Amino acid sequence: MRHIGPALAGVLMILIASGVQGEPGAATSDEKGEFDTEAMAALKDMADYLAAADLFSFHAEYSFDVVQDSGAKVEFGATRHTLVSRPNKLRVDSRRRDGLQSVVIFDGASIWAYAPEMNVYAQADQPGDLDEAIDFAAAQLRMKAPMAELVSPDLYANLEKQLTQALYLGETVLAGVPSEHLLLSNDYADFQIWIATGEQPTPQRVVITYREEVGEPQFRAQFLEWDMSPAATAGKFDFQPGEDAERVRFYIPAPATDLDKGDAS
Amino acid sequence: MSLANRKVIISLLAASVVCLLAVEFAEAGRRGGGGGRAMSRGGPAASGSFQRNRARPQSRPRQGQYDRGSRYGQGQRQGQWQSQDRQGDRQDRFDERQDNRQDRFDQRQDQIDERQDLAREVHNDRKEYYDDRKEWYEDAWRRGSYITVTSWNRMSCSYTTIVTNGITYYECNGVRYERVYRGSEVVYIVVP
Repeated sequence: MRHIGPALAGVLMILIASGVQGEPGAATSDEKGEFDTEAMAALKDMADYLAAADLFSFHAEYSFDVVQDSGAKVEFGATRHTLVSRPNKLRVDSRRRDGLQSVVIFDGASIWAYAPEMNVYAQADQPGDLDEAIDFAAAQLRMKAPMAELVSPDLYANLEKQLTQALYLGETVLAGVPSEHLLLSNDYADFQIWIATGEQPTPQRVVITYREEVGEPQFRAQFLEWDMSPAATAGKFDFQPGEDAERVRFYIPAPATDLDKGDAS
Repeated sequence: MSLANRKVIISLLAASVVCLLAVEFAEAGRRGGGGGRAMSRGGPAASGSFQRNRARPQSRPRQGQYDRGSRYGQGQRQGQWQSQDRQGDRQDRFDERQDNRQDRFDQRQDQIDERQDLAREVHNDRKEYYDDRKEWYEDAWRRGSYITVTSWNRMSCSYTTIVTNGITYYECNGVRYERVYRGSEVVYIVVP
């Protein structure tokens, strides 16, 4: 409870444990910001629903801003299909808008990255469960892992401990799906999420605004399909490089040095 | 105007148009087929993560730095203790060790200064080099000298491959590259 006052954390835990939901618009507050009980309840429903699924997949369209040296924001994007098998398997097939494809597989023992057009792959040992492996891939291998938080079995705890604000913005219809619209914040970014109402509280859309970064770039995810019982997954987590495939190394950038400071590229 | 003159003028006009088109296509090709420009594609928003540490992972020191440091330290300690084959005169030996340490420290400091000067020169040279070729190299010089696959394909050089210790290197215009996975994409890093 680094960012939430102890008193507020206590109130939240009691509310969550007892399943009590506040009146619409009801909010508790401290100097960190407001926490709508409805927002926290919707978040918990979604997190519990995803955490309870041992095997699921989702298909999403991602886009993100990159602030150029000139200050202009340019949008790039990709479509990704993510297949999750707990406790430690993951497969992500993606195609960037410029056509480049990639496949990333966590098979439980290794992390494989494969570029089909070039027939090139890299391999690293996979540490621990999905959470640990994703952290390793993002922090050490510098792989992009958009929306990887959704895969974590500790999604709710991970989000809750860093929140400085959670607002319930109301019900809305997104691409025909009735959804609850939330605005969450931590000390770094604002995170809007639309969660489907009803039996399957899956995320429908996410918009992250990197408030603390120059130009306040955004990341956007539009979820096109959730499959909570995907079929024909046998072999999806096995990676067998072809005989003519070239194995390359993961390159880990060197640390920034004093020489780099003050240089603007 | 005679028919022959008209034919000459028409031929010249047609040739000019062809030349202009050729220049335009060449320029489009240089920009990357279809007129695409090289833009920076990275940044925190590309991470798609709510967490600062995933959006901005910190670099870890090169493995070699750790290895060099630990081996160096261990070697020095062993050398000192092996030379102690009798007791007594501890203060003299202590003073001697202090002097040796100071000498080694000074030597190391000189080496560090020299390396930093050299690194600064190399860094500046690389910056100028890449500034001149920014369209191809984006801001690669700062991130560890690499070019993207798209930029590599645009260079259209007839590269040669060299396999050393199981690693394939690509040589193009006198520069040696290694194909690697950098984050989520394959790039060509410049091999020093």
